[in-house]
Amino acid sequence: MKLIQPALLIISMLALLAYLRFFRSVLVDRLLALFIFALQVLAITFPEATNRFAQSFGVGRGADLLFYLFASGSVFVYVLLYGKLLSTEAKVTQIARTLAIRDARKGN
Amino acid sequence: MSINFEKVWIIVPAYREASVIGAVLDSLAATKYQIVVVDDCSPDTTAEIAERSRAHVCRHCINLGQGAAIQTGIDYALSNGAEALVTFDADGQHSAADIPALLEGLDKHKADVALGSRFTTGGAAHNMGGARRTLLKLATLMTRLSTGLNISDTHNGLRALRAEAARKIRITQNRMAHASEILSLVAQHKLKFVEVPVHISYTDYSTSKGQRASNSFNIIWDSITGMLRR
Ligand SMILES: Nc1nc2c(ncn2[C@@H]2O[C@H](COP(=O)(O)OP(=O)(O)OP(=O)(O)O)[C@@H](O)[C@H]2O)c(=O)[nH]1
Ligand SMILES: [Mg+2]
Repeated sequence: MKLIQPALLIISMLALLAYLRFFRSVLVDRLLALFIFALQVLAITFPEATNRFAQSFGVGRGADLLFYLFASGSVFVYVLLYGKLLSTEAKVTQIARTLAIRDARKGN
Repeated sequence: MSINFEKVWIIVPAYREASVIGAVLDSLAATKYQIVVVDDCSPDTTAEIAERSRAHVCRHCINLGQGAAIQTGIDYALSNGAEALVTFDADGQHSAADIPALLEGLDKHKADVALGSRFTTGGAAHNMGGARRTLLKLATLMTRLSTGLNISDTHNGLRALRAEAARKIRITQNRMAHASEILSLVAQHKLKFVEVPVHISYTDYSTSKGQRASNSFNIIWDSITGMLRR
């Protein structure tokens, strides 16, 4: 076992615990988190298996496949977060506007 | 139906204009129109100075941008019985003497919107730099293409709207992309518009404080991502 493996296992474990502890979520999401954790454990303990899996998609290494999935997934996350940012901005604007109109002052 | 001048509201979005807004409001206070200044959380004394004039003053508790300030002014004026609204910059570049012509444009042509233009015959841009002229012409070309409207000056902040038109135009672009947003709403609602020649003055103050050319990229970005919201 290489040093990196226990390190990654600990990080995955902490991530799972943090998720279960701090994010209120529905049961499906918790099960999904457990499933992802199981995949992580497998991939970390048997790195060669991920390589074989990747090669069946025509990608050289498991690490490369993960990188591609991560890159395309983060574009998706970015667009979602940006949409969220825009709608939050619209709400904040409406609050500031309502207050400004409510507290308007007439000069002399 | 001619417009009752006492029900005309001048909307003045202002951010960090303490050194000039007093004079701008003096020139507006000499008219019969109602005035609302929307101070966008200026760190200087812009709002205090505005409160010394006869204007109504709304203050945003956070800085939101010129587009947001104009929409706040529109809401305020409409809820106070405005029949027509005029948007007017606080930085001294616009001239109160142009307002009657805008209102006459609404009246005479039964238009919903009267758009000020510095580039149409009779209009002028005093002391405008060549680079700014080129940039504005480019922006005008782009906005003409995107809205399909035949307009000579799409980024002019001096304009008049009838109340019914102002109700249809809801600005969601908080920052500088509101200028083209207003025009696309004009196109979308098939509002009748006229262009009216106006005089815009560029001073050392307005140029140093005004928009940098590089902000064009932000404006384009805001316009594109704004479509995500629709
Ligand atoms: N409420 C608000 N108003 C702003 C903001 N930035 C600018 N303004 C106001 O909007 C008006 C026009 O702003 P400028 O930055 O001069 O923009 P411009 O006149 O389109 O561009 P220039 O040709 O560079 O002068 C002025 O009355 C400013 O005080 C802002 O963040 N919030
Ligand atoms: Mg200006």
